[in-house]
Amino acid sequence: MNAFIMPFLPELILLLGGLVIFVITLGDSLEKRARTAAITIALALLAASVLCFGQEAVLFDGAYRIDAFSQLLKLIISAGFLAIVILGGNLPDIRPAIKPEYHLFLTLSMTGLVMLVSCVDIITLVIALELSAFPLYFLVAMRREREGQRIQMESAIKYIMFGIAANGVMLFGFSYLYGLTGTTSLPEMMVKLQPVMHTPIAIVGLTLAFCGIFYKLAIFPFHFWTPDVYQGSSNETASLIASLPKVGGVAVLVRLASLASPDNTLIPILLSALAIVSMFYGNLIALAQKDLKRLLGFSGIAHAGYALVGFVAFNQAGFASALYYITGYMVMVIACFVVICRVSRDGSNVAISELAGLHRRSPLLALTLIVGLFALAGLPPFVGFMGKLGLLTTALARGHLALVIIAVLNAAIAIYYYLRVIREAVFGDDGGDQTPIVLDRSTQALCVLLIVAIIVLGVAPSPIINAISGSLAGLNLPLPPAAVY
Amino acid sequence: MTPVTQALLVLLLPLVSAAVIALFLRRQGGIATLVSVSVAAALAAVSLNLILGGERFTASMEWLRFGNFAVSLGFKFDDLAAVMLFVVSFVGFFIHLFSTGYMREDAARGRYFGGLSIFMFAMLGIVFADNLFMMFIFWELVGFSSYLLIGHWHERQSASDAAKKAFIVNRVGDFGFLLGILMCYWVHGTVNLTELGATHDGGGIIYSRLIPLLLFCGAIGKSAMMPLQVWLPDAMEGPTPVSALIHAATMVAAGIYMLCRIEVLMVPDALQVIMWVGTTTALYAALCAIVQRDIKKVLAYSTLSQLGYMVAAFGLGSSSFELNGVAIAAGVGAAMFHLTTHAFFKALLFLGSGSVIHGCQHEQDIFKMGGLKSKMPLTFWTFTIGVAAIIGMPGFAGFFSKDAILLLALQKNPAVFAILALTAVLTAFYMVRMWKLVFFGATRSEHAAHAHESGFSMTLPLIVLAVLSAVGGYSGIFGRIAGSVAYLVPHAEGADHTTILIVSLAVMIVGAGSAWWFYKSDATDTLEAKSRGLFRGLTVLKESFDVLYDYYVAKVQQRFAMLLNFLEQIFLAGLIIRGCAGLVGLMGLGGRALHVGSLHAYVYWFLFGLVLLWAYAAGVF
Repeated sequence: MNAFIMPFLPELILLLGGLVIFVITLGDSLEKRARTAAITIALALLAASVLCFGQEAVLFDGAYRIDAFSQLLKLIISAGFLAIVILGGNLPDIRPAIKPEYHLFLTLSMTGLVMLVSCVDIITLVIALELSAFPLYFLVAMRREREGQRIQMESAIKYIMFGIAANGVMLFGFSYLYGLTGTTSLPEMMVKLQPVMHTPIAIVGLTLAFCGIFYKLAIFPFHFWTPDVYQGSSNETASLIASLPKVGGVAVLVRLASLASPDNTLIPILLSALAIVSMFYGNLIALAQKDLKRLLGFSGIAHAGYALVGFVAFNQAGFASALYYITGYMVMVIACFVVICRVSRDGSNVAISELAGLHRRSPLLALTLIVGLFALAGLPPFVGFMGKLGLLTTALARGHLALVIIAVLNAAIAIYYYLRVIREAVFGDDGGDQTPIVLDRSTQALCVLLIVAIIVLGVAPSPIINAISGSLAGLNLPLPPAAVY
Repeated sequence: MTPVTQALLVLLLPLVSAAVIALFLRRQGGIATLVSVSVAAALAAVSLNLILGGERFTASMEWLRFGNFAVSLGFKFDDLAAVMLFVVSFVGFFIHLFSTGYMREDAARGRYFGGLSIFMFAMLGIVFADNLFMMFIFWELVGFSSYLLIGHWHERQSASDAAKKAFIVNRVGDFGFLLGILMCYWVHGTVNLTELGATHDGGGIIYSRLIPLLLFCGAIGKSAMMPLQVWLPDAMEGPTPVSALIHAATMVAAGIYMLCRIEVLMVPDALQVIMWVGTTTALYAALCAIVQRDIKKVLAYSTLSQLGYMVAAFGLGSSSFELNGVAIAAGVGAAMFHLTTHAFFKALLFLGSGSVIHGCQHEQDIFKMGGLKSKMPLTFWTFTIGVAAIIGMPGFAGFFSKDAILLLALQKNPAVFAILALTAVLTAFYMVRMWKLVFFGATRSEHAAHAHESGFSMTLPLIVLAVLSAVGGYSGIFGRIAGSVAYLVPHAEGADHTTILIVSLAVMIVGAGSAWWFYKSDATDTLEAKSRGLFRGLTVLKESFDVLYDYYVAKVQQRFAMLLNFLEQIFLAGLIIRGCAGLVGLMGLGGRALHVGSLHAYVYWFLFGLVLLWAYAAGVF
């Protein structure tokens, strides 16, 4: 294959796949074909990401760069994409007439995400961000109307309003940075920003630019859309929104955060304040939830807070542990959402009490749920534990003792509501309903793979952490070298 | 195969068997029996090869490391371990074999044989352990498997109670054992048995006494010494082969084995305490045994008494004992010698009683038996050999080992000698009483009338053990197994020799003769009829400990626990836990109230946060 095409194979596959699905949507009731196409694209994307691993290339005068960092994240994202497509099944809760379109927008959103991690210029970054976000707004609104309830529309409106506002704020911040440095390229900006980093205007610009990402990650106070959108969107959409964009968000945050010079003290304080508030806020409100998706929504806010802890450390090890954590989070949360999607009757939302007797109805799902929640709660030997351990050790190595204590406290609070869900699933009174949940082959394989991934990533974290650290080293961030981790 | 591989094989085979049975064969009793028994046979063969091969070694590997503290797993296979290995694997195999016949009708055979296998694993772990931590781990595993097997017929309330009692009482002793291990590590910096042997620094007068005594607590629990002897008689609720294996031949002897292992830590003061505990237990149990009606309970108390003998022997013979001018650990020799012969004849007696019980449709009351001599001839003759061995009939195994202990006592402490001699009289007395009631006279119940000889799988172990009980005391046999340990057994010379011979013959003849003359093989206890006061006194003596413990648990511990519970409910659970949880929950509810669902409110929050961030970044505060 041509040496020029090769590095961009994932993007090209997505674009081509998007076109194919677009053609499919033109026909009538071809939902099966659209799904097959989506799965094919996901598989091809995964294969292409593996194939292109380690490639390097630049496009658009250096605005779009293929490097070790972007390729690693593409691999992670494409694995997540495959899981999401499989988990969607035949989309029980999407209006039947527009099921093919669902797959189209899903693929387009993925295109945006895959491009996002390669963008090293403000312009391309914003475009990729919008490309990944806009299809999501549609996906939320595509949920079936049941009993005249139109909560999905309300959710979509909230989501889009927040998204646009956050993007506006981010662009405003970028305009400051552009004004200061006269460039849109992030590497150049990084160099030119160093001498003026202590000025309020630089800090304001950077902080406002962060807001766009905080919104994606659902960091307090830009999180208000989260629970409502989780609740209002269909289960498949919620599992997408909960998992993949966060990986992209953290990746972009790594690029933006590295604009600040490492000896800056204001930004770490700001980040730790936001991390603390997000952790407490998410965990405390999650305690009072009855709807499983809403619970995961609030817990997602807390987990975004944990991920921020890695940025507080502000060194390569911190960024690496944040990326490792968010990768693990993606796997854990998808594991929980698989259970939600399969337990749910005709795609409606799942209350925690509906999980009762799950271990009798489907042992595999119960196991997936238990492993997923234990991992989210941060119990060893799962990835959630190793991730938190990495974050806390890097933060501690930089002397953020109070932050570490607060994070541990939050982990303790979180265990309560995760275990409450597990208790309901295992010991709950199922009222005699023991109809088995039949899982198709692909779901079974997905469950097993997720469980294996959660355990393997937790037991043997060094390969992926080394890969992340290695790819970060390639970014030439102006950071102190990675601590031994 | 290298010796280490063989030892590993011996240790792990029963674990594999237990795992296979527990996972796959719980319902297939027949296959489970086959697996367990063939594993027992294989490991007996390998151990015999290991023991007679003469190879002695130590090998260890690190298992866990916390900072400077490492827990290792390893083998210390010396002559002492060889004796114990022989007892466990050889006697263990024959008890497995006996079980195939005894448990044939049992529906839960799979569970039973799985339990036997896990017990063999745990017991062999104690035998091989090269450090105290490893020993403690297997010590607890032994307790666990004993719990499983005592409670095998768990549908019987008394059996499940007895299992719990055995476990809990053992935990009391194990607590001291663990403390002793920790203190040993603290003082000596190691718990490895070989390394401990090289340390001569006792760590001061207090620790040098406290460590052996705390470790001895473990032996008090496991070997059922006073005051923790209460669990052993109750443990007879388990199947009879279990009583033979665990509560007579091997597990209860683990305490004595452990003492011999830590002999290097002993100091005279500690030995003094150990000696008196053993002596008292020996006498107390012998007294209790006289008034028992249940054939297994008589044997249980007799086991207690004999264990007391061993502990007393250990306490008597410190390393200052001189034999032909050479200082030797005579206590270890005498105790291990008696442990070995006792394992033979007590296993024989228990299996014999099992054969009797099996023959009489699970009748255990000796006053309802009688006249079994002609109905079960093979059982009768083997049982008779067992009785002869335990009462110290010259020429039988028990005679030699008991004489060695009496010799030690004679030279060291006349008071102990007197008590042990009296115990020997009592031993002969209650054993002959039981022997006569079971096998002679008229048949006194329906079950006994229909008694029949047991099958081959049950009589073969009886024959083998009878042979060992008869000849196991000769130094040719014991020396072959025990190697250098046999040299530690004291042998009387000159005047002492005469004294011991006369005394032991006299006590045997007095005890056995008076029992034979006194008891009639009748449906009522002659002692109860003739001397009601004495009988009542002995019964009360037997029950006093249980009454005392019941009183303590019900009146003291229970009330204290209730008080603590009350405080816990108010302060811990109420104020601290519920209080914190309530506070956190309230904050959660408060936070949830922010989520009113209205976009206006959200936008305000968004803007508020934005302004806050902007203000902070711009340096407003």
